[in-house]
Amino acid sequence: MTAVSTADRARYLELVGDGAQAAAVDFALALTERGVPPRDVVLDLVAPTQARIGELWARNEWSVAQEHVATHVSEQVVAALAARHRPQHSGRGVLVVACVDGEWHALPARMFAEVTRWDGWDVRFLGASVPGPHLISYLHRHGPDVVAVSCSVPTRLAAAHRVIEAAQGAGIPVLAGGRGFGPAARWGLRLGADRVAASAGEAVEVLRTWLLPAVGQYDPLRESFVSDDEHVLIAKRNTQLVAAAMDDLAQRFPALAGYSAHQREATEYDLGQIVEFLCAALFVDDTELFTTFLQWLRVVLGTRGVPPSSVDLVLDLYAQQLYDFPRARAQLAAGRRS
Amino acid sequence: MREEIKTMRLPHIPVPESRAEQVFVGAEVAEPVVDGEGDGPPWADLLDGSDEMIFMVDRAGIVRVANAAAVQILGVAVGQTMTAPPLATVLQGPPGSFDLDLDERRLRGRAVPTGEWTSWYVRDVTDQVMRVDALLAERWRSAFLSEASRRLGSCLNPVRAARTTAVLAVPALADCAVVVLDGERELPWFRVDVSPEDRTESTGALSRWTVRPDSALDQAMSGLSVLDDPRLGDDIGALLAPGFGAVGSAMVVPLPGHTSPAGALILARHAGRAPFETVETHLVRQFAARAGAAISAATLYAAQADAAEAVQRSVEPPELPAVPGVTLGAAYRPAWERLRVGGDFYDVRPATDGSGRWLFVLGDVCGKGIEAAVQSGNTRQSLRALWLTESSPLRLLGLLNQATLTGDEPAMATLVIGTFATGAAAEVEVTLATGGHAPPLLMAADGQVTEVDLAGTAIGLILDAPFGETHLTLLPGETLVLFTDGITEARGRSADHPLFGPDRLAAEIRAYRGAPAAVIAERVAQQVTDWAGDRLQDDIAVLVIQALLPPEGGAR
Repeated sequence: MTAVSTADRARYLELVGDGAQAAAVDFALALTERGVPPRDVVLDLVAPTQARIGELWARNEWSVAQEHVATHVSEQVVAALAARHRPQHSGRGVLVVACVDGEWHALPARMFAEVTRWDGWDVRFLGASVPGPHLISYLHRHGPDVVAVSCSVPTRLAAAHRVIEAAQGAGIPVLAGGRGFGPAARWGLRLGADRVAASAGEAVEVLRTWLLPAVGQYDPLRESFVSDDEHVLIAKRNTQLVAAAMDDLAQRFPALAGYSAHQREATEYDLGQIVEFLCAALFVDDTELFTTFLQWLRVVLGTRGVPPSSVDLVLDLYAQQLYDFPRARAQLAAGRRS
Repeated sequence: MREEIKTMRLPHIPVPESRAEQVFVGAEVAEPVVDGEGDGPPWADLLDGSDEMIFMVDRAGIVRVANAAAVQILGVAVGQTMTAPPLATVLQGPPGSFDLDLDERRLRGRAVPTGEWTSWYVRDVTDQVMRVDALLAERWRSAFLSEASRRLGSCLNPVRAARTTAVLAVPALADCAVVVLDGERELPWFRVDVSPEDRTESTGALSRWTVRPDSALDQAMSGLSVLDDPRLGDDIGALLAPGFGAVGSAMVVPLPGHTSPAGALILARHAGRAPFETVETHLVRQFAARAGAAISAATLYAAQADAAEAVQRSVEPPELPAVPGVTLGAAYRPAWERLRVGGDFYDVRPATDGSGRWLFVLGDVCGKGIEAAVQSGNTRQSLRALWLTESSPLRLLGLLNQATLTGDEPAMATLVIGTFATGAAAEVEVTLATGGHAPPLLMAADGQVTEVDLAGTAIGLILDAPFGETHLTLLPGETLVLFTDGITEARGRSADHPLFGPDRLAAEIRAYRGAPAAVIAERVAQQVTDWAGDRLQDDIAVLVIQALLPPEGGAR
């Protein structure tokens, strides 16, 4: 058997769920000894498991700590695979992989980095949350053939956009990838990335067939993406919006007064997240970004005993406050219907 | 208009002697068609006064009427057929508009059928066309320069700037362009060459000593331009692409730098191509000025970035060692993110006294950014040296305090220094000493979090400062968390900006009971980052030391 089976995935999920680091590493390495290519272990075992873990957390079947321990174990597994299996060939070119500023989910980018390394790229992995100036300085100094920008959360799209433009300004073509860029990574294209990939596996294929421009020949010809100011103005009001919504909720739900400080903070956090995703949706001008987030949030809250209708209530409160933001109101209305 | 022309007939008017030089031939109309000669207006004068060339041709192709301009410029003769091309060719064609080049002139005309004959109106548009051509050429030149500025301006890498210069120059300015950069021993060069078949890029380096004194390259390197010198072909031949063939024309110009030229630009055209005109020479110089500025700015930037990177590398948080019986975890996030450096630091090293103990430190040098980073690097370095001879945390603090106070610029720092040892049992023996630092938190296996009782004065303030020391035993599953004040003092983003505080930190650690040290460290850092709304006001560092539970435990 040289492919990852469903049973393998089930076993692996169990191991990472138990935080059994050594056993999970052994299991993954044993698969490669059985003949499974390491790239398949990463793409068909670790990656789908990570997606599954996210679902389990959203449905409150796993605690947040368990999710993070499992992710840590997967990180160690990828590191062990990389240490055990050195790339067989090289010479495809120099590839810089970086997570956008504020993006601390390094594992998806790390998996992509290792898989492309096995595919013959000279990969420089800059890690989680690479500050824009740091990345641009690196690109100018080391002049790679291409830079891959990873973004797992759509709320970092504005930062991703700045990095894409700056990298292109430095003469480096950009591949955008990660779930933050949306379905089929389409927001990556919207923000001007030269190529996009929805998954690490797809990104490897894109890189294989991409005839990269010669040094100094690269010119991003498309018009640069320009958004209006609504998302900026609303982001600035995030704190006030949340505070006003909290006051309003406290009046409607006397139970809120009995919340522990921790519960209040969690509620504030969720309210702030709604504003952030609203801003991201305004930024790329796509209601699907907002509605997808709200659907997910309803699942998360629903499994934790918060009625999903409370989300609609918050959307209404925001709509009242944002009466002079037509696009935001349209987003909120779409969110209400979703 | 057409009707009018159709009915117009030219009166016969004799040529006045005094105006013979005006070659009025309009009088030589073959057949007088209008009666009452001398009575009508002087049509012939009217036509001769026009700059436009006007003449009429009959069906047989014989010129019947022509004004002075037509005779002078076009050479038509009344009563004769036009035979000389290119005008003859146009005349044979159907009536309409046409452009033709005659001698040095650009002529634009139109033919209008006028009954039996055809009337021709031809204007000299040479000046107009030249002005448009010049305008287009000028527009092309400014577009070229602005494109060059745009591409070069966004480039902070000298090698890339040099390559971009060569790429831009071909084929716009020449068929082969070589950019030679200045250097101490070696002169790197970048070449782009275009032939009908191919466009090639190549790169290499010249030894400085092979550049002949007073050669074109040597002159350009010292700031002199060498234009179309007949010997230039031989001089630069070796630098051109192999198989370039005969050089038609060439230039070698300096790429002006901040003080001395950043390099030289060699341009060569094939023998078939027009040589450099004065206006092109001017363009090349302007282009070279932009390229030189970009390359020198990039060189300067690279030098500074090198320095910054060296500093950054020297203060990067170290990789944690693998220690049997203990799991270690750390997280570090600088507030000043441009260089990803800050004043917080940690380190874990084996003691060299053969005791099998490990030494660790977590600290915070006052200040932010690169200065604090350099100071923290110094402190870490001093400590590594001290660790060679001393392993008592308390005495180490005293020595470090002395070393700091006797330094040139004593910087205040707070830190926790400790040792741990794993014995035969699963317990981990820890000794801790602090200089003004927040006491670490201890999490028991059941999740209870307590503050370690430890106090002392910051280092770098006074000699003989009092430092505190304590001993504790980590039972299997127990976790010790060291952290800097950037964590507890992080301001939240909600309206009243509350501090993250020790209670929230303790709760966060408790939530990760049973998780590996690395996860706890990372989560604390992440939680604080989220708390601060992605804008850390201060650096944060966490170091987690955990006594390993015998079997791998769950985090459920």
